[in-house]
Amino acid sequence: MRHIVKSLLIVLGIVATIFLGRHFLTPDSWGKYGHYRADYIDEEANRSINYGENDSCLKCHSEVVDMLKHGEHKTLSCEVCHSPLSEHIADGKKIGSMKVPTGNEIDKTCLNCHQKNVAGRPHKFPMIDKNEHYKMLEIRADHNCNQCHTVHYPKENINKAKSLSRNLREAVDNEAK
Amino acid sequence: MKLNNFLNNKNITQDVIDLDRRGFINKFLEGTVAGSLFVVVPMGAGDIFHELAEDHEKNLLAMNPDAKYVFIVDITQCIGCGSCCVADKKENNVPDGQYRTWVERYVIDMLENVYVDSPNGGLNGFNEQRTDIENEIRDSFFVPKLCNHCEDAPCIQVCPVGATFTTPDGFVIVDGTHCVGCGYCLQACPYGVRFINEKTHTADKCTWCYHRVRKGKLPACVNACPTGARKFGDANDRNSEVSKILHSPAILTVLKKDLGTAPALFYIGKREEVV
Repeated sequence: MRHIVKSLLIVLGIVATIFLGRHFLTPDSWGKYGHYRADYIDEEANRSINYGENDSCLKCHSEVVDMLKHGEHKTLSCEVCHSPLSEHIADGKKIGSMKVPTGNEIDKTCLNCHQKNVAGRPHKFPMIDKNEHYKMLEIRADHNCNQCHTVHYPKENINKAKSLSRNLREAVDNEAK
Repeated sequence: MKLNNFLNNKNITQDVIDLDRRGFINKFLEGTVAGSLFVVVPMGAGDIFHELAEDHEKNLLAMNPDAKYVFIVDITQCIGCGSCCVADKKENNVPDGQYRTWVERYVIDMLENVYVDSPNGGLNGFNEQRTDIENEIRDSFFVPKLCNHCEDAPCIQVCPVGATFTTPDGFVIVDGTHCVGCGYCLQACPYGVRFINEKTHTADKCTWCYHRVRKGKLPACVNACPTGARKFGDANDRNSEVSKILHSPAILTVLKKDLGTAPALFYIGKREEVV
């Protein structure tokens, strides 16, 4: 009799240890959806974000974003050329200045997408060889792209100049008649 | 060491016989109990000790288990500017030299030689022409790569600790606090998207910016793409762009279809040379 009680006690002890071990070693949310810790889903989802969207910029910089929306660069995200929102704003307050490319950085930024003769780019995409372009239009080599092309609305000045010269031509033609 | 001595002893029978009851139980308990405790007993659903706490932060959208999120990469639109890679790196604080997403440049010459390069994962863009190709170029294009979020993901099957899993809304994510960094999933992934993060020493990979999607935003790379080469959305939502593409005559392909992983990442304009 005694040996049966003894072995039963041992079995009970083992079972108790197993349940205690499970209780303390298994994470709380384990098994809620499957063989993993379900709490991590929300932990991951709560991770802070660094990049906003153009609407975040719109709140303060409406003129620039508005300009962007009407031009050829309407599909661009502000944070591609500038820097992530998290380096600029935290808790609704400005914490740092955005990166604003100047001088040759501007050319580099433009040509990052628009450099001609890069194998792989779709042919319909507007591409330019800077030297060729400057030579054709007789522009001094030390000029930067943004001196003609407003970066946020690349064809703005070009279109204005074209319409001005068209108007002028029409005026001259009318005068001749 | 003990086991070796035990095995090397030719007189095993005698050794066992020599043990008294206490000795035998001790020997028996030594390994068996310790081993069986946490392996044999299934840990999972229905644990009586669990209290299922439900608290979502207010800014999070609820998980949508009915959604079928898909990612579509349009190769014919990609210009290889690298904006996606920069956005991804900064959004997810990816260490230098490691990539959650990267862009490959494929150049195929007239003799059907295929040249593939991806300098710094495409982070700096592709501004220089390859000079090492002698023959005339027949075809060239950029292929952005990222996690396929497979429906039947090999990386999940091999994880020994349940640190990587598919969320109820279909994202494959890695629980960094649970991962032991064994690297098994790195070998299992046929697409090579996983890496051991230098900073955390745990497995890491693209999550399709799960933390942004749950806040109602697009993944960082999709938001950054200037030409719309990267598209993301819910295929079950008939009004979404991806749903319209999936139901259009466009030819959509996946990487390594024959492996049967059922990727949720689709490509438009993928040539047969792309692997």
